[in-house]
Amino acid sequence: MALVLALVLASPEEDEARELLARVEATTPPVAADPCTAHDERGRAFAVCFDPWRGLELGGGAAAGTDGWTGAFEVGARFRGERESRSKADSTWFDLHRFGAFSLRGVDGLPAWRLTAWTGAFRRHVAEGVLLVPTTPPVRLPFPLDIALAGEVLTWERRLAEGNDYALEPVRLAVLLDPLRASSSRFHLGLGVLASYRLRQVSGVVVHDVTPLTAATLFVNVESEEGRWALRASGTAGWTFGPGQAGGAFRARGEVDGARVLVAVNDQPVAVFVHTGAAWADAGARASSEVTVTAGLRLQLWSAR
Amino acid sequence: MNGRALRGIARTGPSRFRGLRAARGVKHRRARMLSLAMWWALAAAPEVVVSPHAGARASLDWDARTWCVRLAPTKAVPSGEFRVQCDAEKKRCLAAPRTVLVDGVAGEEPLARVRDDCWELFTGEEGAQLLAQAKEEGWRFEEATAEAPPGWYRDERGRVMQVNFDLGRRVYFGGSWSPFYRPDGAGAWGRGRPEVGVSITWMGDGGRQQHRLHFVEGAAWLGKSDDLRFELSSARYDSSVRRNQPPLWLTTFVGKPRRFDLDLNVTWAAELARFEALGGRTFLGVAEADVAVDLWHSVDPDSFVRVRAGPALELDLVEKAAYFRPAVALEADLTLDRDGFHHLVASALGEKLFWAPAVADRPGSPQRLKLRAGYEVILLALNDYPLTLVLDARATWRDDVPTLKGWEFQANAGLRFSLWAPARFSATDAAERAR
Repeated sequence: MALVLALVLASPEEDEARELLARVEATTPPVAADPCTAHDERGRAFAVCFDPWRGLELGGGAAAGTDGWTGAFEVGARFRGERESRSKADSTWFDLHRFGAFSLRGVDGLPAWRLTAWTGAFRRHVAEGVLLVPTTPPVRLPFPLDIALAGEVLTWERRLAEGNDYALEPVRLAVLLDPLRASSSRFHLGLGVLASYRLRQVSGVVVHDVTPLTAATLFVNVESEEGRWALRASGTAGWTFGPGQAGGAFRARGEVDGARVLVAVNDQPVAVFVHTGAAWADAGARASSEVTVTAGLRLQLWSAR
Repeated sequence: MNGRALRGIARTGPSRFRGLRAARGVKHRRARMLSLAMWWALAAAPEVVVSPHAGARASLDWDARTWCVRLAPTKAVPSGEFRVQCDAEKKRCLAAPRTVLVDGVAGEEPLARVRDDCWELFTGEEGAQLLAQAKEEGWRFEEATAEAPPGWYRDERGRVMQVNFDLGRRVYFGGSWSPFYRPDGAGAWGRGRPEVGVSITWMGDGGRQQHRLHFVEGAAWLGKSDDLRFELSSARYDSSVRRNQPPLWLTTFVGKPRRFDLDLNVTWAAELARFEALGGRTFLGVAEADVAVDLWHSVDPDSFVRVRAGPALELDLVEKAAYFRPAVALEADLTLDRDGFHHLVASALGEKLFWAPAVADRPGSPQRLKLRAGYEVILLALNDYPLTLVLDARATWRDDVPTLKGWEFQANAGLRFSLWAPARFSATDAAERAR
């Protein structure tokens, strides 16, 4: 276009060409600056937006618990997805994934770790929620909730202070309802019920824990628009059943994690985080109770938007 | 017509002449000789008088166009043949003799290291026009000294000498007095230290990187017959780089996002075949590979302060053992003046030997710490080869040689003679930039 205009401008029809150029400029929308890229006074670009659910996460800090202070380390990969539903028109799937989440800290002076192969959530957001009553004719009622699923696959927990005992949870799945119905993956508020199955070896004896939708669960994810603030929370509370556990056992656990990006090194953000976790008869192989607070720095590679 | 335009026209002269030079055969040679005679005739202006210089004698500019013309004979230049540079704006020409002056009179020895020989740079038609303009407008012709290359100086007789030296490019040998002291009472005043070495540096990456190669840098400490020492580094490489883009930058998100560039100039260094013989032990450092970070370097970048660290493989030829030898060093090499006369070097090197076999009176993983600070200054130059005074002090702590455990302090004071040592890159680059 520029070449053509330049050629035309050099021709005798110069006035016409200038008028044409002015019209083109008037009708062409200005190129929007990338809001996620800033420039310093020398013109060098740097990223200012990040995705808290993308990239390789490496964190370290100090953890305080009922047994004192200890170091803490974590690693994992996060991935965020979004796609239009192929089977249901006017609906969007927002999903959050974390793979290979590994955390290490000290418990009673000895290492304790937890490894989860996958954890994540899926939420189907619909433009207009509907509850259909199959009467004749069908009745269409407003349904102001998004439906979501949250789960974990293959969680292995080991505390050397517990000897050879371990906990292995093959699957944990929650069905959630989201009253926020945000049209963005940045906001999730899921409330629902949980089903899970867990094996625990306690003093050489394997114990089976089953939660047949008898626990309430909560899933929260909130992020600022540019991704520099992030708050995540999850929790479950309810009854688990197993052989020899007449009437079930009440167990609860919850965690809240807040992070703020302070600096970025080569556009890779480093955030300060505070993580609080609490468990009631649900921590480790021996289903103990505890409260821990961890604070530190977290590097999230390849998360710049 | 201004001076720039005149110079522009003038530059076509030599190129036309070079075209003639390229011609082959008798016919072309005759044509060439005819042309030369014609230009020479045109360039002659025997009525133009060269005045004595007013005040300090000026020098021709290395980067300006020089004309070779015949003017009125003077007492110093009876032939009237001069190298001339004219400034059309000032209406002034500087005229320098074409040969070295002997007893105040131009002799037969042609000037050395002039940019273009008069025979090569013949005046040409445009030069004759310039001369004609100068005559017509009555420009002043003043006595001057011929031009000298960057890093060189020409005296009033026309002799040229090097005054800028790059000691990073040289073949050197020297000797020094090298007394040493040990807290255990050993030590000696009467000890000498001959040394040799070859250093080569070259620029790369558009002048942003300097590569340095050192060959056969060795020294021997000769004194008491029971404490002869020898050290030789067969080949050593390092470099300094000034990158266009910082390898690391930091963005802060407290308040308005801001970016801070960390200009980490990371390079590498390596060493092959380092021998060290002392105290009845002989070590051979087979190979060492380091990562180096310049904490600072000058724009040239001849001067630098850097940190270097890396692993090495070392053989103990007495114990017939192989060591893994990680090393870390802080090094500084500073050229203190523009002409390269004053140099400071300082270094702190730490090495640790792993996988060492058990040896009596030696720990399992011996260590070495070598500290050094030195100063080198050019005293004079012989045939443009610098002779330098070298002063340095060294302190060593080591426990890898049982007979030399602990601290040792030594001083060196001596002379070093360097061959090659051309003008520094900074001198020649400045000339290139001005061109």
